[in-house]
Amino acid sequence: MVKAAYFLFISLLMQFTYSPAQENHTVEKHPLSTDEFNETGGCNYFEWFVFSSDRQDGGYLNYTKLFTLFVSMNGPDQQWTNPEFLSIDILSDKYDGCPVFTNEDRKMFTTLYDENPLQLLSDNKKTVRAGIYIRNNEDGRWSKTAKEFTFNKKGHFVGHPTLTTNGTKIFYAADFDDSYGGTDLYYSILINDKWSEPINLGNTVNSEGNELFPFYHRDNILYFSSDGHGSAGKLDIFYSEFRNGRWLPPVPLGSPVNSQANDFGIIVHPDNDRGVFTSDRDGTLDIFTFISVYPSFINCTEAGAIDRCISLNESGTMNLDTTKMQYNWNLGDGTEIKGEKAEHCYEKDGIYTISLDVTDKITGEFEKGVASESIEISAKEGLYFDIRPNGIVNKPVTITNVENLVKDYSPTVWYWDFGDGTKGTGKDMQHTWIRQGEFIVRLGIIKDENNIRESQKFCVWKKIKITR
Amino acid sequence: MALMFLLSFQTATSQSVPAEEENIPFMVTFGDDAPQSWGDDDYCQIFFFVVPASLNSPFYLRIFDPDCGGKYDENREEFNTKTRFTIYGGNACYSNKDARNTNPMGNYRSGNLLSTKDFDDKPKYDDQWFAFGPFNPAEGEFIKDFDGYIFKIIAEGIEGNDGNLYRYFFSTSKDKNIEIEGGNTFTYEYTFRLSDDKNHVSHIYPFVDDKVVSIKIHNFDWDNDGYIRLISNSKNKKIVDKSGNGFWTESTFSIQEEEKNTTFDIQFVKTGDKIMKNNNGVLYVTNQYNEFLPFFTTPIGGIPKYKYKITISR
Repeated sequence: MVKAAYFLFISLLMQFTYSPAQENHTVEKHPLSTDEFNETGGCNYFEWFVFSSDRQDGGYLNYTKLFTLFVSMNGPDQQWTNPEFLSIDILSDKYDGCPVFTNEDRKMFTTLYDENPLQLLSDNKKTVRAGIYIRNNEDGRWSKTAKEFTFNKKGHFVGHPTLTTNGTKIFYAADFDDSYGGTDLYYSILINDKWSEPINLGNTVNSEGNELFPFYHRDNILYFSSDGHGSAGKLDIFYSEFRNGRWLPPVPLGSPVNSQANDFGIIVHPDNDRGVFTSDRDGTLDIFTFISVYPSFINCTEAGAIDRCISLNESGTMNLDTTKMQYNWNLGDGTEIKGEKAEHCYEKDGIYTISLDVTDKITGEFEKGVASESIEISAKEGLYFDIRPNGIVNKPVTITNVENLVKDYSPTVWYWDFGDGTKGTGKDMQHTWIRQGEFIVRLGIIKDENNIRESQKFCVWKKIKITR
Repeated sequence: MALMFLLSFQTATSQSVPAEEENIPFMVTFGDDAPQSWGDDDYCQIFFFVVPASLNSPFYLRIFDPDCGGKYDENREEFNTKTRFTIYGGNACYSNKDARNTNPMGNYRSGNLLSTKDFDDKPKYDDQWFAFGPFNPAEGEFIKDFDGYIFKIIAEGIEGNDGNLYRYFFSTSKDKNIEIEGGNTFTYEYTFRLSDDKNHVSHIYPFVDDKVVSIKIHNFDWDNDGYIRLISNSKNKKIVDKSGNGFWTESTFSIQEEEKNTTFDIQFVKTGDKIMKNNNGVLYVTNQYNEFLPFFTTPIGGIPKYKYKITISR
């Protein structure tokens, strides 16, 4: 079923908003989600699934109706165990947001809300005060006292931390004075065990609305939720890629991850092809799992050009015009070039014999084959395609010269991600962008197409700028 | 002058001067009343002939059309020119440095005078051969570097203003042109008649020894006729500047390591919109020390050919 899901391609009617024209994911409600209570989050802590909830059982659990951290485990029978507190030691009078674990799971960064965080999701959003807190795990116990994040600000919202894999950069949401509107996303860098001043990610990522719940993926992708950027009115989930020193315009994940309700709190698997998110589309907050219809490709390199090019010259010749000689280069593939030097790109790998004919322009004497050389042309291993660097909104752009020179790969399926939320398969493609911006076009291939999830993958990308 | 290495002469195809490889119609020497702008800067032409040490029979110097008044010679008014041909041998006929100068000065008549004769404007030998000799090879100056005996022949225009066109042949026979095996001829300044035919290509072959770092090609009174080009194993028909009427022009070229101890080819291509008739020119080559390089009528090591090499880069 999973395999079938990867090859599922559903075409939807094109919409005149940011919504992509296809569904790239399948979505299911997580078994731990209930209709009665709110569940949010869903990250892994060792073998445990950690989430935040206001669930009550009439007993010890959460009679205060606060959001608290719970854990559950998926047993060998595929049944989830009854949720338990992550730790009694960390119960407080604040609302716990879903944490992020780092530093070999010895540190926990979490958001503690002073007010009910559901207010963040209401139509008339109220300011919710919150801060980021850090707990350490010592001898298997979480510290009772949580240390405040350096830039928590009284009376303000600072929350939703996410860290890079090496833990040296933290992204978070905050309503600092320099925001572009509502809450914005910021980052700080760890230098000598101290966090640097918050830096706003800028107005490519941040809108006049609210940006919340960032999640940093190791492939330099920042997922987050926003009620700006053309969302459906409530929070939608977007991603922005960091390429060549800047963040590219956010791309919506589209339906069915995004709905007419609030969709947020995404956590993505390192393979970038599945994860969880939270949505109130069914009335209460529920955790949903999603799986990408298409295989996900990460750690892609920027695509180069196939280099089968050579430059030729006759080693003793300088300034041919002074000798009144004419050179004619035979490149061995049917190409002939006149001139003192020649530059040529071969279409295919192979061994070519190059020869030089010379005409004496003064006497008219023609000498054929005065010199010859053989050359073996072999393009560098890689994946290649051509796309022009610029395009126009609503005008199709053709992708050509797709060529695979990756050793031991014999793809029959070529996976495309056009960077606007749409994907496709096929060797030579054409795509139309319906909005302007800069987009990363990604091409991926899979070594073993019978084992898509586990198999090695190879991918490259190129950028295209779309204007009106 | 730098000593030359022991040269291995290829078996000469002829000792004719000009040689077949040169494709030059005639040498020319004007009477000393002629203006230089007619194509002769000094009314004198000195050639050297090498007889291999192994030769133990006499030889002759044959001159074609030695007098100045017949079908080949060049006159402006009535023929009035007398030309003297003198053959020298013995000590210092070659080794005296004045003998190897391009201008007839100092003791350029060094050595032992072996034979001489003046030829006037009576066309007694018009279109015919005259033979000097016989000469004993040992009468020349033995030069170790050549492993042979060198003789010197000087042609001088001693009267008049006409151009005497002639050729030489060093022969074992008085009456026929029979080449001397292993022989060669050379000069340090070549004065000759260019062809009248369009697309005709003539050559002279200077030898560049291992001491040469740069050469300067001097040419006189070329009247901007056609093209002069320089060829070696590393120079592919480089254009040489041509002189105008009555003027000298020089062109300098650096010498690569692979060009040392090789023969160059100075090529004269008769082409262009205006074809000059009866055009005479003078040419010599110097090295960086201003020493004169010899032109061998039979090129040492053969006629040079440029070696093309393709360089490929990615």
